[in-house]
Amino acid sequence: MPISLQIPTVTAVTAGLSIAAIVLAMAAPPSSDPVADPTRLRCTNPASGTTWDVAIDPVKRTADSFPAEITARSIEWRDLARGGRYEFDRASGELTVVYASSMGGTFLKDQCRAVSAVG
Amino acid sequence: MTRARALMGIVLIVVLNLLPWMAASAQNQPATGTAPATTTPAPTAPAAAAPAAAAAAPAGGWVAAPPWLNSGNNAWQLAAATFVALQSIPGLMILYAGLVKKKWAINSAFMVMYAFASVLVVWVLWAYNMSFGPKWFPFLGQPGPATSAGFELGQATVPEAASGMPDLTFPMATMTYFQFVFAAITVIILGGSVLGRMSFKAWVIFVPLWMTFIYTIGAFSIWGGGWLAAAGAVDFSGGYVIHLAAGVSGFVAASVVGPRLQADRDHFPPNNLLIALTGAGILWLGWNGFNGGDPYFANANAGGAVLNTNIATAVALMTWTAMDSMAYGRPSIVGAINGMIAGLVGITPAAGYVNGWGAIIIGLCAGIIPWFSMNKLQKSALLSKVDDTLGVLSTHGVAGLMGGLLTGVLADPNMLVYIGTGSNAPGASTTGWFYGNFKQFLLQAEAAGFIIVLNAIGTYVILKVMSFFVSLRMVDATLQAGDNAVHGEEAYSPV
Repeated sequence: MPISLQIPTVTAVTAGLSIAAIVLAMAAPPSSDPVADPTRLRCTNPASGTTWDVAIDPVKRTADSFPAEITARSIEWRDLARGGRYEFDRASGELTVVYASSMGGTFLKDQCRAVSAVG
Repeated sequence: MTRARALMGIVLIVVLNLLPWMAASAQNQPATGTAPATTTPAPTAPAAAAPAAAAAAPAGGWVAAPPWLNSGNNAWQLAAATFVALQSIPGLMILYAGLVKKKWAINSAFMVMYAFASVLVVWVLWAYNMSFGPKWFPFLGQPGPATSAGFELGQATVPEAASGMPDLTFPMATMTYFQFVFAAITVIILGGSVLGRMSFKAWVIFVPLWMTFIYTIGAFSIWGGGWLAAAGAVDFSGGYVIHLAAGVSGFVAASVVGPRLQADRDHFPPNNLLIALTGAGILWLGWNGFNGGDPYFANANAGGAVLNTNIATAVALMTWTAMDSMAYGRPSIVGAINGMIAGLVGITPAAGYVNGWGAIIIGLCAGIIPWFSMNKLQKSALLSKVDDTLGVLSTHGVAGLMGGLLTGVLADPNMLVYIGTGSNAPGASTTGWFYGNFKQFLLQAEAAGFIIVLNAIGTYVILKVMSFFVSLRMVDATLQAGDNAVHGEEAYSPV
């Protein structure tokens, strides 16, 4: 008898844990997306070590006050003052800066990560 | 003849109407560089030329040059421009004159010389600024003269492309001339497709029209900071802007103008291969300025571009010769010239972006793909209907397209065009598919598509409109006689 009572108990616990895990998994951001809702990106040039910040406003959909296209995969914006175009890959953290030059486009690569504090 | 005069009259009226506006804007200084940085610092720091200028100042208060001028860079840029100019006159002038049938030597050479002269006039009056000036449309700059003292002696800049390069250290006059020689050689290359039958009058009208309405759009879109440059498409020295454009436009022009006499198509022996070889040699070495001048600085990348240019050319020449030997049983010097040109053209869009291995691969491809295009594709029943006299579609169009696409594959991110400082270190470069950036290949394909469509449609429309006013092709009697009938002169005296 005790054995027959244990089976449904284990099954119920296992099922409950599974459902909870599924719910948690659905609620949590995907682990491959390190900067799901960044308010500020801290970018570093891997060659020089220079670091600077980019302010992201997901509500106004801007990056450094420039209009930005913010999707689950990337944040893209154009520096209207200097003409550069910025492409931030949220999965890899890679920031590609595209400038127009007299040989066509030219590119710079940086790494960025989200930092919580703004200002 | 009447229609031709009417057309010339229209052109004259348009120019006269532009003159007051040109005069009003003649004192314009070149547009300044970039606005202050916001997201990142400026791409690179310019070379400091001021101390040298200041140190040379005599007691009387004179200095030889403004503080932004670097005499080494200016000297190299002027030398590079002169190398490219020499590629046209006498390079292509005698190459064409030697490769064509004896009766067309003068006409072919004259077409080159006229194009060189007329493009310069168009260039400084309005086309330079349409190609490299302030933006008018995403694909075109604002027309305007490049003639005032203030403009010529001001610091060079390409206003829409300034953010992607250091401040330039030579004057606008140097920049204007350097870009002119590229513009001129483009339409001269195009002319290789219509040798031996295009009316000289039609050529006189066609060159400025094509320069104004076609070349400027391609140049601004990719080199002037236009929409393709902003998207990230690259073309180091003109694989697309020059060679793909000339190849496509030349092929279309050959189709619209019509073929040579059938007798000439059947038998068109080069009249002087040694002269042709002299032109070919000037073309090869002149390419050191063609590709070496495009970084706009006498920097490390310029050296890399020159070396890569020669590597690819040598490999392509050898490959083409091997292809000729396998296909026809013996090596041909005309084939070697074609292989040399295909190699030069193939490396042009890639010269400062690929490393030496990339240059070898491009050279190999340039010796094979354009060879098949010229020896098989252009001899097929369909394409042989178009009489592309010197096979410009293959040696320039196909080679330029191939080189541009291979740039999207082989561009090495370690080939820095400019060295960056601070947040821009290590510097500006391009990453190809082979190094993990497939997107660059797609960008290159997009740019190629634009240039092909632009040139095919634009050249067709220009020639069709012209055909209402002037005969594009010489009459058969003139075609029979050749130079003597057209110019009253012959290359070789009969006595």
